[in-house]
Amino acid sequence: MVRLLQQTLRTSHSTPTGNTNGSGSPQPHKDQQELGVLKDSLQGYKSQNKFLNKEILELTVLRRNAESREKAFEAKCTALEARLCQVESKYLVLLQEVKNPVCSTQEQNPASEVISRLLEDALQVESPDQQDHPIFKPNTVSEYDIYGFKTVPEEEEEEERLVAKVRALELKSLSMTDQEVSVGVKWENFLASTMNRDLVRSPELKSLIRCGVPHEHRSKVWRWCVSFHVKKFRDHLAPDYYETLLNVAREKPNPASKQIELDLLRTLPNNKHYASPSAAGIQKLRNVLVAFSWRNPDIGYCQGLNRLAAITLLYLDQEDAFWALVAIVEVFMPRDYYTKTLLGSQVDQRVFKDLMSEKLPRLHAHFEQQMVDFSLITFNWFLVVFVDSVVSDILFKIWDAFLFEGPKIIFRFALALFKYKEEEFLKLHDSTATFKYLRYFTRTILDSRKLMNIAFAGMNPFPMKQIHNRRAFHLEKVRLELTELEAIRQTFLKERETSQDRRSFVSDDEEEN
Amino acid sequence: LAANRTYSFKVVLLGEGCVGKTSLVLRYCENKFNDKHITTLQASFLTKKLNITGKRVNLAIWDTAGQERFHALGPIYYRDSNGAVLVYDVTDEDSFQKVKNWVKELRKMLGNDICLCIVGNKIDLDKDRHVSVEDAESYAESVGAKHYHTSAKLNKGIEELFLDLCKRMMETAQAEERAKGNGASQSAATRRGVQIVDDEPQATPAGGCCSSG
Repeated sequence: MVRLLQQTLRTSHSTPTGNTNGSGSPQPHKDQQELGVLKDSLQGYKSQNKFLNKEILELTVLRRNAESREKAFEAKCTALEARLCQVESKYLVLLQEVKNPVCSTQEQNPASEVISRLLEDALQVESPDQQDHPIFKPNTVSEYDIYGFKTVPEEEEEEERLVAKVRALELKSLSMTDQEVSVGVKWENFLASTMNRDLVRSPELKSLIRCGVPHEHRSKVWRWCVSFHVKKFRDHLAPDYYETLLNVAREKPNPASKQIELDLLRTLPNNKHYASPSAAGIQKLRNVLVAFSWRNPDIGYCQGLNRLAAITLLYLDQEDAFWALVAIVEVFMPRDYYTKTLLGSQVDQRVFKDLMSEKLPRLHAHFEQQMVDFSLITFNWFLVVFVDSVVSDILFKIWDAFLFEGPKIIFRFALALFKYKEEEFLKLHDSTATFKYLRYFTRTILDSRKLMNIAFAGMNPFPMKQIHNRRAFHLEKVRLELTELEAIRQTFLKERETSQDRRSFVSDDEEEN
Repeated sequence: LAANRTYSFKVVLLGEGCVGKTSLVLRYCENKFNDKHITTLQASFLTKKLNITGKRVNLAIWDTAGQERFHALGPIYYRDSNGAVLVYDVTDEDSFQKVKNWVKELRKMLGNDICLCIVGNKIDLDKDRHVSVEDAESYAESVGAKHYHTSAKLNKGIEELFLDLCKRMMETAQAEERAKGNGASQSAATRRGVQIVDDEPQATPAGGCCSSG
């Protein structure tokens, strides 16, 4: 290499000199000499070139080998890490078992202190100051997941923290399976083939989105989905529309503001972006909700919208998050989903009950027989699209499909969640136990692949037309009931005003006698 | 037989947003206080087992969302309730007015069968009190409800509130049972889903179907 450089320097130095000489006085002898030198150089270059090409080929082979070895090591490392997570989660469960023996004896077990200490150690999560150690991580689970949710709650009892840690470990090992890795590769290939052009709705994209969008591409895909659905609104509006709404909000008082303010810190308190008044997400959340309430005065603010907005803000900027909320409320959901009587939401619960009896007849009959009204729990799933009901790895995959395909996804996954745990429900024989299980069972579901397989393959055929028909059918019934209830409330208010003096209540104690 | 009896009661918590309904029930059932919990949307459900004068009581407590529009769902929750805890924030006069609305609705829909408790929460903020003790107590008496002062933060008054409510619900249930024994109609008890059951696992309550409304 050095030799080559010297030679090049020499040649480049000598060439201009030769030129000036040549142009000044033509001397054949000197030219001849010059030609000889150049020929020599050429020969030199040729052999250098040959040598270097050979070198390059050899190095390329070496690099390829190193790369494939690196890949193999990475795969091995991932597999080992996954294995470590599994072993650690089993270890935790075991520790807890040992700590609470089946026949607990009163006397102090000498090992119990050791076990307590081991448990304490095992519950540690990676804290921020440990993160600069890139290779060796003393703790397999970090304090927050990639979405910013706390993995292991600090305030809770040891047992709950343990459950949370086991869950985090299992989720981590699930996220490292070959299947997940191959979904990542498929997305890389797909996005590379789109060459940064806008995405186009296609069966290929749909099936990819149904596998879940990788974290690093989610912003892009969500932004595209949202702008696709709200295009019809935005085309007629000024580009600074969102800014204008915010300016209006700054100048005029808004009846929705009180409740919005009360709810900001209660939206996703376990997510670091919304955990304190100074957290980055809070001001954005306030803006999005206030702007939305100005756009939709008939809705204003409905509890639940805060969670929808907060989730979209994790991947979108303020303005796009605002439009995402518009897409959900004004495009996806039927009318009156979030308005004064939550009419649309109530109707969807009736529709969902119909679907349960059709798709999961055994489970539906079981609930009927126990007189368990599961809509008391499922109402929430629909209103906030599963926020705070399922683990975040699953939540965001549901949202990927939801933002692409719309509200049918909610029905699909609501059914799939029940299907996933159908056998467990059928084992429960009293309503209290069933309600208790209803309250938390969704958080025990960790395998997103299995769930998505049930939701997308296990529930077919699933025509949207059927949902539309059912909605129309129940809408009238619910509307009638609400009118009756309102009438009762009104009459009573009037009655009370006119006959206040004559009324006297019998207290429960007197009734006793 | 009577000694082995287990009572199952359903209690519903109602009141304006942010008065502390969830905090009360979390403190009572799990002895936790966290001022950063999530907004309750439609409802959550917690249980508590008690032993009152040798009788077992299973409480199922339904916590509801506070925002006005969720009141449209009210009937689904209070329909089969034996007791209702109506919560207001002692620093917020509006929230006390909302309690009055709930009392009206519950008395209309369920009559005197339901045991009512009116609860002024957040007495740890007593210096900012906007609802006078006398007003609240005399109002409660006028509608046949019991009044309590609580602080979920300081864990004050909550045990007493629920213990008292349970005793009253047991009295009501026993009165109904006696009435039933005297050949009176069963409707009062069954309509509200009072479950007085012997200690058998397959306790099936009689009464209306939950899924129709």
